[in-house]
Order: sequence, then structure tokens, then C-alpha cells
Amino acid sequence: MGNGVFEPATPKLLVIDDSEPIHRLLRVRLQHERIEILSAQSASEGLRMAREMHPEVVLLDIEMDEMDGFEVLSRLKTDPETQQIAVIFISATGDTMDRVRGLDLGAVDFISKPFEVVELRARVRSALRMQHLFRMLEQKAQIDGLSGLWNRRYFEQRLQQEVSEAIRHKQPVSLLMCDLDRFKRINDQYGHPFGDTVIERMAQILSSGRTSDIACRYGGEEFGVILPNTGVAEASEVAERHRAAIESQAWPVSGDLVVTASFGVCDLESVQGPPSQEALVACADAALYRAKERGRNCVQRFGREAATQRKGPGG
Amino acid sequence: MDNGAAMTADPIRSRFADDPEMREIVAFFVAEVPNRLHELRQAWSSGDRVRVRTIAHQMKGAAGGYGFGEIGESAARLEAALARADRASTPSNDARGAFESFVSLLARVTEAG
Repeated sequence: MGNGVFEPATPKLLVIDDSEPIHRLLRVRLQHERIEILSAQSASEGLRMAREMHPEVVLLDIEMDEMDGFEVLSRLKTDPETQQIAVIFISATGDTMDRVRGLDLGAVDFISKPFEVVELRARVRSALRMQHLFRMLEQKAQIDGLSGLWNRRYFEQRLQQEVSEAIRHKQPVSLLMCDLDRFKRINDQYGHPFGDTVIERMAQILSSGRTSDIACRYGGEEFGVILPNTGVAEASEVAERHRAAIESQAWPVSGDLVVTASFGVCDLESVQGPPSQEALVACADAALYRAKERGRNCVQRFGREAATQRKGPGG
Repeated sequence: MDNGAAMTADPIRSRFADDPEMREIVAFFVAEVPNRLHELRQAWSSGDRVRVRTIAHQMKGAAGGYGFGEIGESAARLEAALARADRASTPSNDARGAFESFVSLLARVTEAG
């Protein structure tokens, strides 16, 4: 499933130090930790690797020839790509002012050379733990509490990313917008707790599709699913499966309640004007609006007047 | 090899010489020592203080980690003496003394002991 909280693979530790014996020593001393060690022999190489490899933690030497560690740290902290990396200074200088300056610039810790092996390992572990919690929190802030799906903020950010990827690699990308039909009536008739149950179930259905699909709660009873590398025909099939799944769902309430949803589908190729995530959302929304107009419980493709997916038995 | 009086002094052995995970890189470190010594002496005799200071600085950071704490401390004294000499902008006996004791310590470094 593309939506669960991900467990990062082996965390990466980048060592930036211009002394080869230090790299060799650290590789040996940290070999039993569950980390991948990357080595940069200079400040500029370190900055480049930090951007490209996204390490969780950087061990940074203060005194380097080309650029000192303070400068490297402030560059890491001003680049959005690297500012969340936990930086530990390593230095042979016992100077208190160096430590203060490093911590003030945003370093999380300070290790003195020569290393006390046990202390070195403990400090690296502690930084990794903190980084893990930080990433979990960051991810939590992008997850909708009720549905467990990505929230709107994430949706917008991710859609922008997927649209640029699609343009760059000349690949399709589709967007599916979906809205539960007559949801207000469900809430009024069965109460809000039941309404929440419906939202939760809908979220499960939308996220139980293909692993590459990114299901988000757009707001209220509206959902958006990003389908990378997928054309509109395939996206319509995905939407149709979701539509059929919610329609056939049995509910723990008296009577034969049938909950349905309407779907609007669009791919980047079909949008009017220059391709962008705003245009894609607008077009998928327009298709969704038409699905509502056509009696709900159906899938509509943007820009295709006649072609409607079949309606369910009740629709 | 011009190790002078150091040849007769006691060899210095890494504190980690018997640590299985360290053995290989300690040997590597020790094997590099003659090159460092040569470089140091050359830099010193040609008056390249900056180079001497860089080597001292690196040794200060690394030697202790390789189990040569004494070397690291001596390197730290040399680095500090060179810094003082720089500030005073006069050649200092202090720095010369620190250089000589650092070099003679380094010359005693040995793998097996």
C-alpha cells in the first residue's frame, strides 16, 4: 500500500572530513551499527552528496581546508533539500566557543576527536533516533486523522511533483476526484459517527488499489487519487472498480443502505491549456461535477461528452 | 633511514593492536607513518609551517582513534606551539622542541611492538 507509514531502509550516515584515516576509522568503528556509511573527502563533495543521497545524519569535521564545517553547516541548513539532516560536528578542537557556535548554527551534537568508541556509537544512535521521530512527526502532519490517507497539503505537493515528473519523462499521469453521493443525508439519517465510518471505509477502498496510486482526502467527503504513469483509460478502470466496491459494500445499519460515489477522471494530456497540477485538478473536478449531474454513482472522463462508464443498478 | 636516536628508544604500539576489528587499519596507519615523517621533516626544513601544522592537526585528530594517544597529544602540542609562534611571528624554540619530540615519538611507532 502506498499510504502506510513507511519504515526507512537502512539509515545513511554521511561523513564529511578531509582526512582519510578518519574515514577508515569510522567505517570500522561503526561497522556493526545498522547504518550505511558514506564518505566525502571535501566540503564540496559532502554538500553534493548530502543533496543527492539524503542521509539521515551527517558527521561533519570543523577544520577542513577548502571550506570550514561552520560554512558547510549553514549551507546545509539553508538548502531545503538538506536542512532536515541531523548534523553532528566532529572536531579535534576542545574549544567551547566552537561547540556553542556549532550548536547555535543548528548542529544536534558534538563529538571530540580522538573518538571514544562507545560514546561515538551512542551519539550516532541518538541522532538517528531523533531523526526517525522527526520524520515520523513530519509524516504524521501530512496524514488525515480520520481516514489515514494523505491530507490535502500532501496531495497538492505530491501532485505538483508527479506532474513535473510526467512532463520531464513524457509519461502520462492521471487524477481521479471522487465524492460520496448525498453524504449529508447519510449523516443526517444515521448520525455523524456512522458518517465517519463511511469515510473510513471509502478511504480503505481507495487505498487498496494499485500500490503506485496515491490516495488523499481532499476535504469533507471528497477524495483525490493520483495515478502516476497511468493514462486516462486505465485510470477510468481503476475508478470504476472503486465505484463498484463502495456500491456493493454492506453497512451495519437497518435497511438496505447503499452508499455510492461519483468519480471524475482526467489525465494530463487531456487538460486544456498548458499542463499543470491546477489544470489537472480543475479538469478532474469538472468531470466529477458532470458525474453528479448525470445522476451520480458513475465515472466521467474529462473531455469525453458521450463516453460514460456504465451506471450501477440503482443509478 | 635517518631515525637517529629514536631507533634505540622503546617502540610505541597501538592500544588497539590486539583488537581484531582494528588490526587491519592500525597496520595501514602504521605503514603510512614513514611517509608522514618524511613529509614532516621536508616541510620543516623548507620552512613550510603551514604543511607541518596541517599534518600535526590531522595526527591530533586521528592518532588517538588508532590507539596512539601519546602521538595525538604530542601533535596537539606541536599544533599549539606553531599557532603561538605564528601569533608572535618569531621563530620559537618552543615550536622546534615540540616538533622534535613529535618526530621522535612518530619514529618509534611500530605495528607489532
